[in-house]
Amino acid sequence: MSDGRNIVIRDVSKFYGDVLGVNRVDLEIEPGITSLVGPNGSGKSTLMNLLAGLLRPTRGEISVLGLPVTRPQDLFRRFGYCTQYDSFPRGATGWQFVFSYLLLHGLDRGEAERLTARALERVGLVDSAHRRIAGYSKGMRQRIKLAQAIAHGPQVMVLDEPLNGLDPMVRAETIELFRQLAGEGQHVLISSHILHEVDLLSDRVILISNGYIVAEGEVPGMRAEVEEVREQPLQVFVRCDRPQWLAGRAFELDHVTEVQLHDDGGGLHLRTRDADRFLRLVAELVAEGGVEVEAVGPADSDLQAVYRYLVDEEEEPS
Amino acid sequence: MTVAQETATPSRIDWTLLARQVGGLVRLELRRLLLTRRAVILGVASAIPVGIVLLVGSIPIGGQTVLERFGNRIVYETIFETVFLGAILFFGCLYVFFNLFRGEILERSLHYLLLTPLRREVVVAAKYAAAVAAVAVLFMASTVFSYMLIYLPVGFSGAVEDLTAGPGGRHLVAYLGVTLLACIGYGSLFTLVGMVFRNPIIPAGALYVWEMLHFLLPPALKKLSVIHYLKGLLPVPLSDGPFAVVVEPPPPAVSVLGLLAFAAVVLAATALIIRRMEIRYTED
Repeated sequence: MSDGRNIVIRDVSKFYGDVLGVNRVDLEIEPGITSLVGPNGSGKSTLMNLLAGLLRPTRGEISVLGLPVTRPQDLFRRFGYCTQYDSFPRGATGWQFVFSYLLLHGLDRGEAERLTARALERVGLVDSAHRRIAGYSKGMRQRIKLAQAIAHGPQVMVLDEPLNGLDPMVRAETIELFRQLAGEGQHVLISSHILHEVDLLSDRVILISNGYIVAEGEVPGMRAEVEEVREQPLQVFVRCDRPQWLAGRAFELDHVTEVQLHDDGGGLHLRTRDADRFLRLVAELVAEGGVEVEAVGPADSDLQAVYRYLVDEEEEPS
Repeated sequence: MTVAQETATPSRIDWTLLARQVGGLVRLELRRLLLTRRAVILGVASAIPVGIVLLVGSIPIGGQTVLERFGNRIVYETIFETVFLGAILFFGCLYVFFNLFRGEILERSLHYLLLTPLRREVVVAAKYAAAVAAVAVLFMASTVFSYMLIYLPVGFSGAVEDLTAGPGGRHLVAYLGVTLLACIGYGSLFTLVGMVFRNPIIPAGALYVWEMLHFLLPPALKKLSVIHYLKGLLPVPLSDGPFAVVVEPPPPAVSVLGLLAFAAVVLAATALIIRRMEIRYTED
């Protein structure tokens, strides 16, 4: 049961006529960085638009911090949404864009100016603030949208593909900004199809495919928690001086299903249904002096691996 | 009990805050209407009656200007009814109010407004009020300037005398009132049309034909046209021609209150639509 601090989605479905948007989504999202990951068309934006009240659920109910999403006058004092739409009011400069919508929160001009300046500073757009958005690069447009979404200091930030179009430096700064916001106790819900990024920055991950939530949880524990994944062979890598010999020993084990030597001849990848037993074997061989191991570890316990197991190969994101 | 009801507390309306929010939205909308290309087009449209009255009041034909030959009140009434009311106000309001929401939908920027802490009904009311203010200021200025030009034949002292001691002042107020009510009535109608239709040509064309041919309609159907009530408020009655179905114009109070009530009902319908609206720009 929600205590009004979380985002609660209860049995929510959304159909566009006969087309499924999302189906039977049940989630309770706590403060921190949560990533919503799925391929294009999987239902990420639909779910986010439902959270913001831009779409109405066909079934189920949603509340954000205990507020129904049908009450914008209360919800949007605490909620900021950076949508996927790359469009802006015609002729607006970056400053005007952030400032004018802040005035709609009922702030006086002085306070609105202060918050506009702070938001532009946080996204690194101070120097371009008085240029027209129409002349901004893709990355700058992405950042000005982000500034507008966070300017009023919302407790919940929903950000649809916020890292799209950002160069590596700005990307790193933006991720750091998300961490700061989450560190202040806020909800930061990010959608992405770039898995290695959310893997690094998220506290929790929600995997969505074809409108269904296929897994959710903390990234390190997700693999273990998902039974379907646990039954899949785990990929392990070993960097060593005698990979061919080690491959031969590995094939003697019944739980090893596949071995692949590295092109440089300095290691191997293998798939095993019992990684613990394989790692014990490696430790014994090292102790016996049979092989010198430079590095060993799971190669696919990250989010990408979980995703690959749960979502059809043809839908696999980048 | 729903999830939201478990924890949400009913919010009391902070009227001061709401007034600031509405003020912010009205200013935003006014800037959009008056500081863009839209304002130039409206400005040119509102200057047309001024130009026409200037022409008929200053160019003599056969030794007399048109104003002098037919009488300035009759000439002005004719220009106001046919050109201003019959075309410029109608199409000017169509241009502004149809795009009030439709323009932002096509621009894909409406969601920014819907993501602010304002009830959607308030968004409708504030945008509409700003548009009425912008359009009315332009068109009422046009009415004043064009009306003043009918005094070209009599000069400044004649104008002052007619406006203060004669019927001129009362007539001017009536024309200004009709201009304002036309903006209110047509404005509400085209705001709704903009929410319902993606392309204005067919609905606007049908409405225009209905409004312009209202004089041929039977009495019961005349009551369903905006222009019927506006014409009832005009100070100089003109004939609608030999084919017109003649009916007594409604009393001024009925015309004014009827148009205001009409605008309120149409805006309520618009608010209902936008309240249920989903943002799916791909469909637009």
